Amino acid sequence: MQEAVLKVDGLKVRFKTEDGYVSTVNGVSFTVHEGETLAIVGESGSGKSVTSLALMGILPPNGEVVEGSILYRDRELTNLSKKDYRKIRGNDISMIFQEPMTALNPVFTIGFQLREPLMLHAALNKQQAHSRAIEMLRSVGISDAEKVMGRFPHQLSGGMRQRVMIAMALSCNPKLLIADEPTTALDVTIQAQILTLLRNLKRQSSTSIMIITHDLGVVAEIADRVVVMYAGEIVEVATVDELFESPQHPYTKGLLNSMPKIHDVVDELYSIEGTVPSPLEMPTGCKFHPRCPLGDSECAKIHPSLESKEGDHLARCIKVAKKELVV
Amino acid sequence: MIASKERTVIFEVKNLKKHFELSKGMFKKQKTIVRAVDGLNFRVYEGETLGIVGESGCGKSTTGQLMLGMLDATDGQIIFRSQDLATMNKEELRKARRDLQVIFQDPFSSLNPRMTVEELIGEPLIVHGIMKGKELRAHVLELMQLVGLREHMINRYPHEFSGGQRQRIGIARALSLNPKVIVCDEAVSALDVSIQAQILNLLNKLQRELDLTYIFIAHGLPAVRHISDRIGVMYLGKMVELAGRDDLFNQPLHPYTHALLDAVPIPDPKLRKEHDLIEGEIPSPSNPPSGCRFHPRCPYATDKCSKEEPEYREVLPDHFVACHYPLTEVAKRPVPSV
Amino acid sequence: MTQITEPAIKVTRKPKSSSGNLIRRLLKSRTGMLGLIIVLLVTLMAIFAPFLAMHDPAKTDIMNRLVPPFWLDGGNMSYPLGTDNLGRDVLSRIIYGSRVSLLVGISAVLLAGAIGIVMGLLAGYYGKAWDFLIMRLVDSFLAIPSILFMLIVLAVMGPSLSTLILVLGGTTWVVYARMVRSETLSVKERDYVQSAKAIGALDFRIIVKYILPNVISSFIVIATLNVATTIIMEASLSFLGLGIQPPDVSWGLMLSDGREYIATSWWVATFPGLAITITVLGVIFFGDWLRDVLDPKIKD
Repeated sequence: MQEAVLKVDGLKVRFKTEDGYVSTVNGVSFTVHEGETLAIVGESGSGKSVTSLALMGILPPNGEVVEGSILYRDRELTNLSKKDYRKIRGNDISMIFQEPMTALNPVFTIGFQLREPLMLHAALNKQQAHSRAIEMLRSVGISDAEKVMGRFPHQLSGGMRQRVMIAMALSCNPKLLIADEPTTALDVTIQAQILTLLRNLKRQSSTSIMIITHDLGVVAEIADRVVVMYAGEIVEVATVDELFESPQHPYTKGLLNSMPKIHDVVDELYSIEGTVPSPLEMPTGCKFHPRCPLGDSECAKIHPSLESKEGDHLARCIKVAKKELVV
Repeated sequence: MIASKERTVIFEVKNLKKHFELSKGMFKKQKTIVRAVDGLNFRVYEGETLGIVGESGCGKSTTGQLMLGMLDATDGQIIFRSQDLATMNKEELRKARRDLQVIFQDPFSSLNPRMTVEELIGEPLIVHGIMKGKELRAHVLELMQLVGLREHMINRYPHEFSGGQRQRIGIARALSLNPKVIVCDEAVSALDVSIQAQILNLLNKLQRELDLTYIFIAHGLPAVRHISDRIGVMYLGKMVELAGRDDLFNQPLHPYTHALLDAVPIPDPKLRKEHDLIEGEIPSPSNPPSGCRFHPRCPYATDKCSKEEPEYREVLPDHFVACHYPLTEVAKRPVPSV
Repeated sequence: MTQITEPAIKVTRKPKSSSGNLIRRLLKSRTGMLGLIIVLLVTLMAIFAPFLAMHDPAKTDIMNRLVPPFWLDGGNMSYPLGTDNLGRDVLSRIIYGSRVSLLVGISAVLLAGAIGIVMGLLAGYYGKAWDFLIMRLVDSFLAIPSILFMLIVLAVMGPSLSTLILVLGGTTWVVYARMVRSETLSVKERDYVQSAKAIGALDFRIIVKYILPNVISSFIVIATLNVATTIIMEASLSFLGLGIQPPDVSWGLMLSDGREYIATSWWVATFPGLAITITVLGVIFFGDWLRDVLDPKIKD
C-alpha cells in the first residue's frame, strides 16, 4: 500500500443558518494515497463539495469544522492558522474549480497570474518565471502558449481557462490536486480533452488527485478508488472496478442503474424515488431508507456503520452487513 | 419508431437561418454577425421524439426558440402543420403557440417566484380564456397528479420545491393547454442523475398517454439516446447528420458525430480507453471556418473540405449527412493527414 | 452551455408564514427595530396630533415669546420645549409639523414612484423608441439642477401643499424610472418571462404579473430611503420660503423661522431640526432593514 497523503477522520462540518446549526457533513473518513486518483461521487446535497472546501480550509464564513481531523502527511490541518493554511494551499495542496472564471482574476493577464506565484513561492526572477509559465502552459496542451500569456481570462474559451487553471494548480508541484467538478461546465469533446490531460498528468507525476463529481462516467474514466456520499455521509468505498462491477449499497446501485447508457437502451430507466432529504429533516436510522427499495422498519431505527464486506470494500447498510442482499 | 409510410409531417424546416447582429465598439459601429443557425433542413413527424444534440454555439437552442415562434427567422421557413410560422399574424401565432409548448432547462429560473403552483399550472388556461374558478382548480389538480405532484402542494411557491419537483411543475404548465409539440430545451441537463431518470421516465409516459411530439434539445448524449427516435447533430449552426438513433449511434457517418460519441465517458471502468480526441476548440459562430465548418478539427479533412461546403444529403435511407467523405465511403477517404 | 452551480449549502426551509418570518427577522435586527419604532411613533404623532398637542400650533402669544424649554431658567411645563418669536408652542408645532412632513414625504414618493414605475416598465419592456424617448426625458430632468427647477415652478405656480407634492414628485420620478428600467431589462431576459411568452400571455399580463412583482422589492427599498430625502427637501424648500406657508406648519418652516434667533434662542430651530434628523434616521434604518429582508441576494 502506498503512503497516505491525506487522511480525513470523522470530519463533521456544520453551517450556521437562520434555523440554527445545520450539519452537512457527518463523520466522513477516507484516505488519499500517494499517486492515486480518488473520486468522491454524490448528488447535490450529498456534502461532497463542502468536504472539499473543508479540506482546503476555505469554508464560507458561516461554516465550520466541528469535529474530526484532516491529516496532510502527519500534519493536522484543522487547527492551522489562516496564514499557515495559505502556505499549504499554495505549495502542497491545490484546487481547480468547476468554473475557472471565478478563480481567475479578470483584470490581470494569464501570464501575470501564472508568474506571480512562481516568483513568490519558488523565488524565481521575472524572466525565469516567464519561461517556466510557458513551459507549464505547454504541458497542459496549450500550443500557442506565448500568445495565451498575454490574454485576459475572458478572451479564452472555457476549455482553455480550465487548462490554465490546471497549469496554475500544478505550478508549485503540489502533492495533492483537488478537482471540484472540473469538467461539468465543459462541452463533451473538451471534457474528453481535459480528462485525458488529467490522466496523463497522473502518469507523469506522483501527484494524487481527488476529484469531486456527480458524473459516474467521469469516475469510470479516471478514478482508482471511489467514495460515494449521500446526505452528508459516506455510504460506500471501493476500487473503481469493484464499485461498477458489484456495487453494494442500494443507493450506489440505484445511481448506476438510473444512468441512461449510450450503448444499451432500455425502455424505462430505473429511478430512485423521492428526493435527497434536507439537512433540516434528516430521516432517522439509515438516511437512505425512505427512498430505498429494501428499506424497512429496522432501517428506520438503526443507523448503520460503514462496514467491510470483503477487503477494502466498505458499505453503510445493515442489509449488506447481514448479507441479506443478493448481489 | 413509426414506420415511414404512416408518418405525418408536423414540422417542416426549410433552409432556416437566424443571424444575430452584435454591434461592437462604442464609437465606430462595427457590426458582427453571429450565424447562430445557418441553413437547416429537416422534418419532424407526429408522435416522434426528435433529439437535437450539439456543443455550445451549435445553435440548437436557437433552433428550438425559432420553432416555438419565439424568435423570428432571418431566412427560410418553418412550416407547422402546413402553415409557415412567419406568415402568421399575431392572433394566428398565439393560437399556434397553444400547440407548441416548451420545457426549460433551469427549473430554478423558469418559474415565476411570485406565483403559486396553482397559478403557474393554471395560468395558460386563464390566458387563453379556456377555464377558470373551480373547474380550473380541478384541472390543475388533475395535471399535478399526472406529473406526480401531490395535491397538498397546490398553494406552495417554487422555492419550496427541489429541482426535480420544479421541473414537474414546469412540465404540468406546458401540458395544461394540451399541446401537440413540446420542445424540451435541456430539460433534464440541470438535474441530478437519479432525478433525471424520474423525469425522463415521466416524459416517456406522457408521450405515450397524450400522443405528444417532442423536440428534445440537449448536450448530454446518453439522455438524448434514451428518449429520441431520431437524432440530429448540429455543429456551428449547421445540421451535420440526422438519422434514426440506432443508426446514428451504431454507424455515425460524419467525423464530428463519431468524435462526439467517442468523447462521452462510459460508466464502466473496464471499457476505459484512449479517446480519439479531436483537436482544438469550437470556433466562434461569428467567424465560422470556410467550406465544411468542421474541417479545422477534422482528422480526415482535405483541401476540398476547406473550400467547398458539403451538401446535406440523404446518404442512406433516412440517414442524412453533410460531409464530403462520410465514414461509410471508407475506400474513397483520403489517408488522415496526422 | 449553462450549468446550475448549486450553492455550497442549500437548505430547503419548511414552509412558514411569511409574515411570521418577517417579524422574526425584524426582532433580530436592532437598527431595523429602532427604525420601525421611530417611524411608528412619528406616524402616531401625526395621526393623533390634535390630542397630543397642548396648544394651538398657530396661536400666537406675544406675552410668552421666546420662552426657553422647561429645564432652563424661565422655562415652565406649559411650554415643555419653549416658544418661538411669536409665542407659539414649539412642541405643539413639532407635533403638527409631523403631519406635513410625513404627508409630503410619502405622497411625493408615491407620486414619483407611480410615474417612475410606469415609465421604467415601458422603457425597459418595449425598448427601442419607447426607451429612447423616455430615457432622453429622464436625462433632461437630470441635467437641470432640481432645486432650481422646483424653485421656479413654485414661484410661478405659487406655493401650496399640493403644488409642493406635485413638484417634488414630478422631479424625483426619474430615479425610479432609471432603476425600474434597468431591473426590467434584466428580469425580462429570465426564463420565467420566456415561459410566459411561450404560453401566449399578452404583454400587459407579462408586465403586471411577471415583471412588476419582481422589480417592486427594489423599488420599495429605494422609495423608503427617498421618503427621508423628500422630508429633507420639503424642509429645504420651506426654509427657502417656497414651501409650506403659514398658518400651516412644517419642520422646515420652523427651521426657517428659528434661523434668526439661533444665537439667542437656540431651541426654536434646534428641536425641529432634531425632529427631522431622528425621523430621517428612523426611516433610513427601516429602509436598510427592508432591503436586507426583500433582497434574496443579501439574505443569509
